[in-house]
Amino acid sequence: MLTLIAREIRDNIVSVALPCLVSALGITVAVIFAFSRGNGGTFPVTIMFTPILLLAFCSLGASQAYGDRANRISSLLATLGITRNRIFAARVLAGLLIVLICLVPLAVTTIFLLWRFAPPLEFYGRMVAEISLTVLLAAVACYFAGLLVGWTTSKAWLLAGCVLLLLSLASLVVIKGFGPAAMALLALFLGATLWYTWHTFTSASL
Amino acid sequence: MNSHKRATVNVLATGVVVVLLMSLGLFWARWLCSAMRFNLLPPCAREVAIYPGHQFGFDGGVDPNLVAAPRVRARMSTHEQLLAGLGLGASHYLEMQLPGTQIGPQRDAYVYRWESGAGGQRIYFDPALGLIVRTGIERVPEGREVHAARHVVYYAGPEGVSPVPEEKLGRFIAPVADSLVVVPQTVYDPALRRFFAIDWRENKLVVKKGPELPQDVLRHPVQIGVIQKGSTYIDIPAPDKVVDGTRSPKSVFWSYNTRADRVLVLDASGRLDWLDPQTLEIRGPAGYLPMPATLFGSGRSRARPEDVAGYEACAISSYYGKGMAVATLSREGLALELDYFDTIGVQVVGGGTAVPGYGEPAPGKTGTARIPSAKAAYFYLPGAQVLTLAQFTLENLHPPVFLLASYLAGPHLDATAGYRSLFLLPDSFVAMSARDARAGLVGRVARAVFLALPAFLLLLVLAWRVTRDGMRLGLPKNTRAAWAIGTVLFGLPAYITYRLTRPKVTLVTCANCGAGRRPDREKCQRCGSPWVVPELVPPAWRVLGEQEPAEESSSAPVRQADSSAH
Repeated sequence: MLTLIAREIRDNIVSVALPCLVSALGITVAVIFAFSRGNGGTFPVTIMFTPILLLAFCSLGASQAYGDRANRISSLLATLGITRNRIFAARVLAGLLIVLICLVPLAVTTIFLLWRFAPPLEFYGRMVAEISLTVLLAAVACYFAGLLVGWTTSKAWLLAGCVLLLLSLASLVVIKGFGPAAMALLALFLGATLWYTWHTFTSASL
Repeated sequence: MNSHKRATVNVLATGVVVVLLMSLGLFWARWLCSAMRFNLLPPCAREVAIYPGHQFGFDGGVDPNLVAAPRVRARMSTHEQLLAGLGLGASHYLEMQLPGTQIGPQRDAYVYRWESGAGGQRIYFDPALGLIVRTGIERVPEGREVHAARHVVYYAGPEGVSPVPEEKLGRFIAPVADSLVVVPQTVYDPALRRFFAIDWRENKLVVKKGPELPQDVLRHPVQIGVIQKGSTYIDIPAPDKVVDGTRSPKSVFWSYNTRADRVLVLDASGRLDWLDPQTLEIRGPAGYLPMPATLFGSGRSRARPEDVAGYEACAISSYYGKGMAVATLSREGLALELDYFDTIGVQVVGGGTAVPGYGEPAPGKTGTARIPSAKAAYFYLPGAQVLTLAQFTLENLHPPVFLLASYLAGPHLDATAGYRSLFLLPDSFVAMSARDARAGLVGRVARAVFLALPAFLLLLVLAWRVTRDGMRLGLPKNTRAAWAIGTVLFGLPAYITYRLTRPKVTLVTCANCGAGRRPDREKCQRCGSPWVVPELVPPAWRVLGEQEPAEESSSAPVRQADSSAH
């Protein structure tokens, strides 16, 4: 399984590096901005980088699925005695790992800078937790949406599907906010897309 | 997991995604219709002015020396603010959490005062402790004209105030507190059913307890002091100065209830009361939230806090008199109602936003007719009918089960819930019909059925198509019934889900009945005939060729071969 995960990362190194780069850039800019102003203002900076990260996660999922479909990587791996379930599990675990690697440091940095410069956390601690969790669910949902639309041989459908689903997920957060309602809908969406993607992958002919 | 369960889960997963994406698309289309409809209102229909003349006059009526009659106004916010996303979940979430925003009785965070800076005063309710906490900087005298600043924290409960949280202070459960006046701060606890006055001054840290409200008294205070909701939606600007020809202009003092002798309290029923801060007893009525004129109406003159998108109450006092101005904004943001009450809570004058009607006035009447702004925005303004038809169509594309839930839940949801609701439609025509108390139950249901008739017709057509296609594809009877029921409940999203998940097979012509049959089945799903496979028997006919010549004998002379060899 670790070998499969390493192979997934290696095969999509560009799509993996992109969100990591965006996250690192966001952390750097937030730190510089906060310390240069001396009174915080970190939150708006990290908000600006969040949509870019969501786009990067969607492109990661799309590139994984599209690359597999176009280059028949699963067909090759299947000849090595690896089941499709393991291939899919390795793909999803690799994606989730990248999402966590990119988001967790950004969230920790934001919380640290808020603690350093902003009023005490006892009031908006819950707000920070809910917003962080909602963004994490949205990021995972964007990644699964990329997996869903990436399983195609048409680049036009790939692009249109990515744009449609990204806009839909972003508007879902805008409409419902960051509370439990938004989290429930995002969890429902990512569960449904994960199942549909798994079903499509395991039942497709190689 | 067998293939049948797997297919079922696949259908459910697809259905969830389809419903979600379709609901998002319909939401933004409806939002666009609402924004465009609000934009139709002319500036004169976004502001209302009333003239509480006799309240501002002498015993004989309005002072004839006045140059202009006293006027109280209320106005809606500009449409740009609404288009900017007010009411949507993200901005609403921040409004619920951050202190200082006026969103009415609903609030997630109990922060009453928050001053920035290290020494700023902060007053908030800590649910874990059950106490109201105040932190800040106090000046402690250390000699003549010398003061030292120290950081202090005080905890206030129903039984007293203390620098440390103690059990003997008791616990507040879900207090409602005045965020404007904190010296003393008036608090009401619904679990304890009494008012409290917390004096936070360092030399008078005390909690005064009012009498317990009787159980049979229908009183449920939800806001104290600043009676306001949706401050970005409506506004009561400062009244004009009262000017007369002989005396100097007299200022009209207006305030959000900053009077020392009484505190304004809003009840869950929409009634406004005056509270005596000394005895902590209700002194008498101050007015109520007037119900704005909506499209279908509601049959009630008084609104509850959750019935309106915004409200604001201002106490007004002048040289000529005192009173209370209360403005409310309807759910759709199209109608504003402003009422003026006297000192004992009796309505003196009221008015709502309206659009001047053009054409001949009604028989027996003079002047220009005025059409209520909500009705005008749906039917009379240029472009209103197109937007109404568009909204009507969009609402009927929603799953019928959501329309039914909107009818049932419409009267009970908060007015601003529709701004961020994906599945339920509290601002739909069906929900408006449910809120009309003037029509009886039969009348409301009949009107709701009429408004949802296109949705019913659509689902019948879709259910018929799904059933017909299922029969054509040879789906089992139970499967066809399940799809038909799902289409009846969820309408268009169910039909789209069926089209995405139906078996993708190419039918071949059945030799027996001539209809299409599935090649992966042993029998035809229509006539039940099996495949006609001809047996491998040789045919009775033969292909005959030329008779083969008989072979010659083998005693031919060899010499001929030898002579040829020479």
